[in-house]
Amino acid sequence: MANAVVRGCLVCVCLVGVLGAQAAQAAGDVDLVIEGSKAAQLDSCVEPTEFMRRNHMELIKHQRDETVHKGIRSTKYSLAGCIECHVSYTADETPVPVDAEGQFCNGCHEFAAVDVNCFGCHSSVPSYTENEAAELAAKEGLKWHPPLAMSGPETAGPQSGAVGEGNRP
Amino acid sequence: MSNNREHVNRSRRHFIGTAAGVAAVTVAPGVVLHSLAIAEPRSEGVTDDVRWGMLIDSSKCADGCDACVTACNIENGLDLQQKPDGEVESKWDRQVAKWIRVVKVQDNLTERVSNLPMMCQHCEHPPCVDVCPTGASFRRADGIVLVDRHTCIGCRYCMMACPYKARSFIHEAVEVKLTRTPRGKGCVESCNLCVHRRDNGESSTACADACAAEGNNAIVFGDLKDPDGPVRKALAALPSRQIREDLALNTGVRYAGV
Repeated sequence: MANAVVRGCLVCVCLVGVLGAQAAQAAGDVDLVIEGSKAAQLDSCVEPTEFMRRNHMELIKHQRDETVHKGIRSTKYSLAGCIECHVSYTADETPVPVDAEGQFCNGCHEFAAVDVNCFGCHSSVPSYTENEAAELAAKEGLKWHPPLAMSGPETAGPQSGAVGEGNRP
Repeated sequence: MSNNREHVNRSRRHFIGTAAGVAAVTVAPGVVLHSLAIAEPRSEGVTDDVRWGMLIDSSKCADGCDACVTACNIENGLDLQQKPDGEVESKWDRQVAKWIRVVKVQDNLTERVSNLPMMCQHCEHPPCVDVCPTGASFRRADGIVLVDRHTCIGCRYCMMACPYKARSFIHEAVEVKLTRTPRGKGCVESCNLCVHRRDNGESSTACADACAAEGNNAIVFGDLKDPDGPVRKALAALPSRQIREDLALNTGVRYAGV
């Protein structure tokens, strides 16, 4: 009995040591994964970190064609997924755009002098309407992030105008 | 004493069991419906087994109602477009992207007025696809005509080619956009029949939902290839026509009451 206890204790100590060493190593590796983002709590991205560093652009580019032309939205290589996971938050829960200075995307691309234009069209923060967010929250437990600065001018209401010649029945 | 207690317990169990059964029967359909409503995103490519389309009954389209336009603007983030500082209001109104325009047509002889919510007609033979020099404008297998912004160079040939004036060009940088509808300066866009809803397995579009919520039910959305579907049933029941049917584009959006 005493033997078993001693053995158990030894195993525990060893485990703690190994895990601690791994954690320390990981902490040395991680530089641009922003603290407070979901990604910071995970062991690795959708693929091993080394693979992602070299190939993330290929994954996203392939995925975009699958999504736009074939409508496939279930795969794990989505840009929306990248943003959801890598975005960080200020103290008042406002998401910080991933392409802002020093943030996950910008930090590395700035260093590598690569100009990405994803965010000319794509939102750089998770940006959902209230209904959509409620559904996502029910399904995946996501937080609701209203679009930043929702108070834009309303677009005009119904417009009357001709469709072109011969549109009249 | 102990015998008595056992009796009580048994009847309690019986009651609780019955109650749980009744609750399950009452709640289960709701749970099933709910899980259908938020079905899993699509994992296999779209096929031509379906062709999405709409029937718009303009006789039910209430004069002055803009529920479909407003719903579309919110669904697709069109209300997030911002007028640049110093832009003239009338010019901005012409330039701002709109996916649905309510077109009012009047018969000069009888003076009968019809309201037509006019959007991309999702043609089987779309002129915008014919003229696109980069292949950005394309027709998806399930009949949705849309623009791949990754390959759109903003030449606007498609806008010239479209007989329905359905497409818009994004003239200004867009600061705020929704995750589901990317939007940026220099690309053309138009109604995509709420393609994100199609891919997530939802059954309707924002405009059809809004119209039904208003009680007008002028817009019926569904699969044109499904003989038992709502659109085919409505098409069978009502005389309908395509706008500019002389062009033989075989549009996916049909109009009744015009």
